[in-house]
Amino acid sequence: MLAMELAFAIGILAFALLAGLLGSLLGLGGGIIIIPALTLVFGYPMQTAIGASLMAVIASSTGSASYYVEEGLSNLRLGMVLEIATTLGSVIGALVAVYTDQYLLAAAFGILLLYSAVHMIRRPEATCIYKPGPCGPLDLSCSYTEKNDGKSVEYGVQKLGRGMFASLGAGGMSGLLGVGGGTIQVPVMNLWMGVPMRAACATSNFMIGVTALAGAVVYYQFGMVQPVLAGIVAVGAFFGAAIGSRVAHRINGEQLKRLFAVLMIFVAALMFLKAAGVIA
Amino acid sequence: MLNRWVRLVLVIGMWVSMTLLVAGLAWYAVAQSTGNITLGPLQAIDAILQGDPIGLISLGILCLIATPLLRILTSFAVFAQTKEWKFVLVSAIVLAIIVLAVFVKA
Repeated sequence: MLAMELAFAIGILAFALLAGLLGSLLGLGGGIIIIPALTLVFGYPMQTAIGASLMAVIASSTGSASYYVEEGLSNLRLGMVLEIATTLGSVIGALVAVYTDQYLLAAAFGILLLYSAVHMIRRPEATCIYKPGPCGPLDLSCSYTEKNDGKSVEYGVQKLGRGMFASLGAGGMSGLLGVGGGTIQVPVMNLWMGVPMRAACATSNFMIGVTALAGAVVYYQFGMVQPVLAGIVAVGAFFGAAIGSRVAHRINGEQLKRLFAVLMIFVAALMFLKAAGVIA
Repeated sequence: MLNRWVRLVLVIGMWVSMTLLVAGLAWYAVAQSTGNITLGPLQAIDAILQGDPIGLISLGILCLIATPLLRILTSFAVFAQTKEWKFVLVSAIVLAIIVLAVFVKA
């Protein structure tokens, strides 16, 4: 019995490591891997899986955020302003999830997987010239230095209202489904708000920890965070992300992205089957 | 200055919580426990004193949750020191939303 429990725990740890590793290589939060693994492979209810996943999201994003902050890539002021919307959305999303049927959550997660797969294959990037200088009542303009050529990139932030509205949705998704919300946040900052892609990814990473925290607190209050499960998943995701950030430059990211997108479509189909009650 | 302080808080928070979690999980693997609910800070310390590894794991999870929270508090303090009042307000609003989440069940 004890050996079985240990094997079960090692299995979860392996998936969490993989989630952290792939999340770091593909620019995703680990939740998109952890939740299907916990529900489809290990049979946990959706809410328990989401509670554990939010811990993994906090662990992996906080670890990488410290690197981006040191490099000066994260726009801290922009991140904090958008966090007003993401935390509010996350609390609302988590409250909805606590009272929602887990089959409905599985269906919603399937839709998220399909969206992420399409986004991963297409991944548009703004090619506009970034406009430096303040825009609106808050000066959120920022700059960073490109590591490879030493060039300084200056940019201003545009369309803050639209960005806040989209961030509310990203936060809602985080609290409802236990993911980071970067799949919405990054393109919104880049395409709408005029933030260069590298800075958008780093700022999104910086914000994800606080966004997930707001949702995690709700799950914690409702007793939906199982300590052993959450601990294993958080440790696995943290060390997986740490390994991923070290090997990222040796991997062909584009090929891996396409392969993973196909896998996500397959997992989405499984989530829809779970939602329909066809599989347990 | 903001970047330096925020980074420091994130790094310390991460390593403290990871150390507690790894130690707690290793203890759990050899000692076992029947508890399956995350404990509050005082209950966690009490559980550790009674030899229950769930207390140490819970403390690790609480530290993990507290890290982004401390990051907001740090930003609040740095913005107040540099007299960036608009961003002091922004930090205060984010803090208020998280406090709201703590009391949402009540």
